[in-house]
Amino acid sequence: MRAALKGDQKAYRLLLTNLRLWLAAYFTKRVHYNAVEDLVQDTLLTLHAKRQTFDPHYSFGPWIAAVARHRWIDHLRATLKYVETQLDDNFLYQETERDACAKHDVKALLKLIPPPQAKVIELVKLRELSIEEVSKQTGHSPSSVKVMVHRGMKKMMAAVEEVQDDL
Amino acid sequence: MKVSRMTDQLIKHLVSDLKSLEPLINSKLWMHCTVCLLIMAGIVLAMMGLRADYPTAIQDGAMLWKPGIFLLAWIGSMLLILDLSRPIERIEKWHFVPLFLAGTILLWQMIVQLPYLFSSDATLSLDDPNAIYCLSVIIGGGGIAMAMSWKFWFSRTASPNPTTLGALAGFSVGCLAATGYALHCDKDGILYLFIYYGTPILILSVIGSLLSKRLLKW
Repeated sequence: MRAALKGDQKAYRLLLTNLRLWLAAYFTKRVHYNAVEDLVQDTLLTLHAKRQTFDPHYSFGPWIAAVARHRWIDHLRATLKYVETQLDDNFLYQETERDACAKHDVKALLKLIPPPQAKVIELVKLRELSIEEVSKQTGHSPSSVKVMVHRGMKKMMAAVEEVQDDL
Repeated sequence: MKVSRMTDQLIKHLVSDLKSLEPLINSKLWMHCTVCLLIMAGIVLAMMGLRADYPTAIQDGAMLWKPGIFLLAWIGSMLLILDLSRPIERIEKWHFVPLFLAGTILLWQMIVQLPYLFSSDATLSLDDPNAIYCLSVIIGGGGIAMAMSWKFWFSRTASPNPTTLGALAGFSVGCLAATGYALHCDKDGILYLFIYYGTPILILSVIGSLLSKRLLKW
């Protein structure tokens, strides 16, 4: 990276090629496999655009890990927004690739919120039960189910900022 | 396989786009902002002059503690800005020391001035017609310093917390301008300080934090 900052294209190509494998492994552990390549590309673009923030006095590993983590958190944030606004029981019959990715990420994030809210979100957003069905199953009123989903999603959004790498 | 090829192409494109680039260097920001501070103080002194009562102000310490509060706050905010400018957050505890000292001096002055805090003299000073200069110099001077340092530093950062960084940018340039203006201003009341110095600094901090939402995202 130090050589790349000086404009050494050969060193930069070697760095990006090796980094690509590391990033793919990093994201494979954290997101649905369909989203991995997009995140790898996003991270490479970010590395390129923000390479001046790398301090040559420090090692490169923690810096690129921080960049990758930032991209991952951004992805989680976008996923949660998507799940909250788009993914509901009207979309039951046409599950897209994005829905599958989103569900995969939300499943991992459910452990960040209290179990009752996590259960309701799992039933509504992941198993795609209707509000009435969830209401019957959990004993909460339909409006209370809606409120729990909304609050749970908000809590997850806030928790995303604090997520640890071992999620 | 198709997606993989896209990453190959992306790498090829990024490599061909590579140019030599100077990394962010902390000492350069210090130099840039110190020059801004000197220019600011120079303009204030050249156009408005040193405060008229400076012999008394030197004796009672106002010449020291008033610019000192803003100078320490500026140094503290600069240290935190440097901690937050790169993807890895490295906030060192001792970087809060200048801010703590500035707060301590402010508190000390509040205690010293407590008996006169709500006296007629103190409230009369709030009606000072020159207060508009205080507001406009801090907002105007701070705004110019912010625009310059934004281009020079902030737009090149990648902060883990862009909103805080933006707010600190506004706070820092506000304190910088206030340090310069405090050399001229002869109003030492703590109420005056809170209203006519605090408000523009707060405004600049809010502007910085709002700008960061659009301009410091990465």
